[in-house]
Amino acid sequence: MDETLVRRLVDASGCSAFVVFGADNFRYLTGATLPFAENYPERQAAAIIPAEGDTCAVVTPVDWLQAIKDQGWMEAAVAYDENEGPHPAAFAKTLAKTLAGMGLTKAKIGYDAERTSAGLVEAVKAATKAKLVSVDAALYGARAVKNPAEVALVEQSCEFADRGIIHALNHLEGTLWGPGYTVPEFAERVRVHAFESGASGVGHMAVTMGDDTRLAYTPHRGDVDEGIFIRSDITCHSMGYWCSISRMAYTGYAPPEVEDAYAENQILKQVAEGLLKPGARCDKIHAKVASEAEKAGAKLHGPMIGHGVGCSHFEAPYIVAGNPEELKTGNVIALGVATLGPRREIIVNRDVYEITHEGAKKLSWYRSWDRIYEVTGFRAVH
Amino acid sequence: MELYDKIVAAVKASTFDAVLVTGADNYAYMAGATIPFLALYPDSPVAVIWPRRGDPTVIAPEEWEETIMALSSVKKTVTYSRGVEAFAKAAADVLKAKKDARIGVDLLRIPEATLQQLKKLLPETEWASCDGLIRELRAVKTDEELELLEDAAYRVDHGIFGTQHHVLLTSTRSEMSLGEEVRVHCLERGLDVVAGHSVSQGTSGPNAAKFWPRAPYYGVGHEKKLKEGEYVRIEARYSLDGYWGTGSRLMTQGYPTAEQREAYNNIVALREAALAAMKPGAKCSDVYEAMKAAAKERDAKLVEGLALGHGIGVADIEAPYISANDDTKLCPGMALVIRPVIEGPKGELLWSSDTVVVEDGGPRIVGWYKDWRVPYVANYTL
Repeated sequence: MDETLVRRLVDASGCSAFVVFGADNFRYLTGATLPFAENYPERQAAAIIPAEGDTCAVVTPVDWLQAIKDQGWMEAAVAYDENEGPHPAAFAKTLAKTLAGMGLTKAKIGYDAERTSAGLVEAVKAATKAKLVSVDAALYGARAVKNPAEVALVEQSCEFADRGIIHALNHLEGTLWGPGYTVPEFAERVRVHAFESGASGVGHMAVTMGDDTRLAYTPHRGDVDEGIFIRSDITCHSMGYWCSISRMAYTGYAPPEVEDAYAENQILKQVAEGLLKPGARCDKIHAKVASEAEKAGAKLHGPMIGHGVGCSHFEAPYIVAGNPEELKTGNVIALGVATLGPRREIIVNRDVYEITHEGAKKLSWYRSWDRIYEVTGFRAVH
Repeated sequence: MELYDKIVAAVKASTFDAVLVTGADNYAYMAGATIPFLALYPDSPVAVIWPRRGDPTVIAPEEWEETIMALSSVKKTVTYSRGVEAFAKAAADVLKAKKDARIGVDLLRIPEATLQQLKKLLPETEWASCDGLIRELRAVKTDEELELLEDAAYRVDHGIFGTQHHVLLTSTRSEMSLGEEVRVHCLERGLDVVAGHSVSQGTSGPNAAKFWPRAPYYGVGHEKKLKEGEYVRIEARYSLDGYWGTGSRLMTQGYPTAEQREAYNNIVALREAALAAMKPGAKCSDVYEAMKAAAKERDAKLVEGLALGHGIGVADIEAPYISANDDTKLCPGMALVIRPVIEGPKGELLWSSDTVVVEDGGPRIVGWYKDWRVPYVANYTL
């Protein structure tokens, strides 16, 4: 993230500083990714970015601090003592002290109200006289438009995700008739190959097979059988910048009804892809795809066909009915039109696009998934 | 149904007309649903509304409805189609029949922005914290929960031990291969890899001086090879049907030096001090003080600022905490992880975490595959 842009953002908000608590916003403002922070609501970190002055600061648990510094954080870094009070009092106490040291005790502070628990807000208000105002909209707007460096990182993450999936599928070739693979092992191969390819973290990982592809997720259980759909959903990041990828495969030669269902899905996706341009309204893109689906007799699954990716794997703008927001140059969109297959399987081939002046530029180019991947045992298909 | 009935009784006995929980961990607990990625989607929240009388309701995004119905013990679902505002409206619609109601809400989880929207939609409603109620419920496990936790702890320990067993001084491993072997051994033992925050990590020598070497590549191994004479820390964090097992074990590359043995004996002494103090009726802060006193007596270099242990359940770190300020009284049915971190002879961060169940007669360590009063010693033969 460009520091000048961040400072300008803080200044434009009329605040003396931003204090952000959400892991995604922390990443955006500091450039550092926290270790699994979303899963630890009773452990807290904050980034403090003042409008003026040299010093920014982070406050984190003791065991996260070194990780932040190791990612290039050169400014103040303070750890709070978990023994100084129950959550969130210990954190709030250290935050208040840090704000005081930065001359922000009575300042107007912009914070991410959509990421901060009400209990934490209460504790911070009790510990400092600062006036807290929500700046979610400013962060939302800034994060939605990526600079070239951010786009490059998302593009890398797409490659890592696709490699994760294709390498796992490659391993599956020729195994269906032998002892075979279990679903957990296949899913884990997706994850591990994403890491081996260079991903710095994996978020949402769901591999569903057969009847389970009707669901968004099931615990990974059982064996990989012949003659079934496999859907691999993975989100991963490259140095904190995320993609969201979904790919479909079929174990064996896909019967005509499967090929047709997949082809139908791809046609709808192409319609959506063609509409990804600066100035296009999200609700209208959705409406056009919904109307084309209706004409084709296809059933869309779920109300959303796309969303932003960046410091989170799921962020604005959302391509969904009712959202009048217009796409802008620099938006990066994960586009996945979900339709139902012959046995109500959720079919989705999710790619990531950068919105440019010319239209949508595909960032998840590593391999073409225009046809469903068939696990036939012939490694030549690789 | 043991847990479901327990929740019914607790809500009925509370002062709330209904309880609304929004945290992914609280959701997993109340809905009995293992959906590991929920915490990673703050813009697509889920919630459980549990009335004092009548059936609970899940609020979920439309696209996850079927998944949640399939995996949850709560079978009534209300869906919404877009973002936090729609979520708040859906929750308010469920709650609005309860005029002038007192609603318990998990203030330590619900984003401030969401709470403010609910307050606008239901101005007559009294919103009060139910964090204490949920914390108490979650802290004392049912027999089924304890069984799962014990099983998960054992499988994790076995997974780590299996990994150590492959390490030879003469054909050493890299940290990456240690991570891979932990992963495989844990998978083989039926544990679930949860992409968002499962960990299989080996750190050695100077890398072990950090909690998270080579951030932001968290929870995966690195290329460094293990060397003779080094301390090696192996960590694993996996779940089993939604309940967590978290382990860290130490290994020396060759017979431990006197300093390494001394450091390990300090860990053993801290464990023993904790176990001696963990009687039903004792406060968590008493256990903390006992461990601190043991560290002082032995001149062990305890890493300051961290709690010395924590609860474990649907989250791998949860209340109560073995910290100076947590006065929770221990009682039968609690499951905790003892986890003091000390500095080793070369600045390594050393810990050997143990899962402990509090019973009528005192604490019981669960899941030991090996007697960890001594470290694993990698040697010349398997």
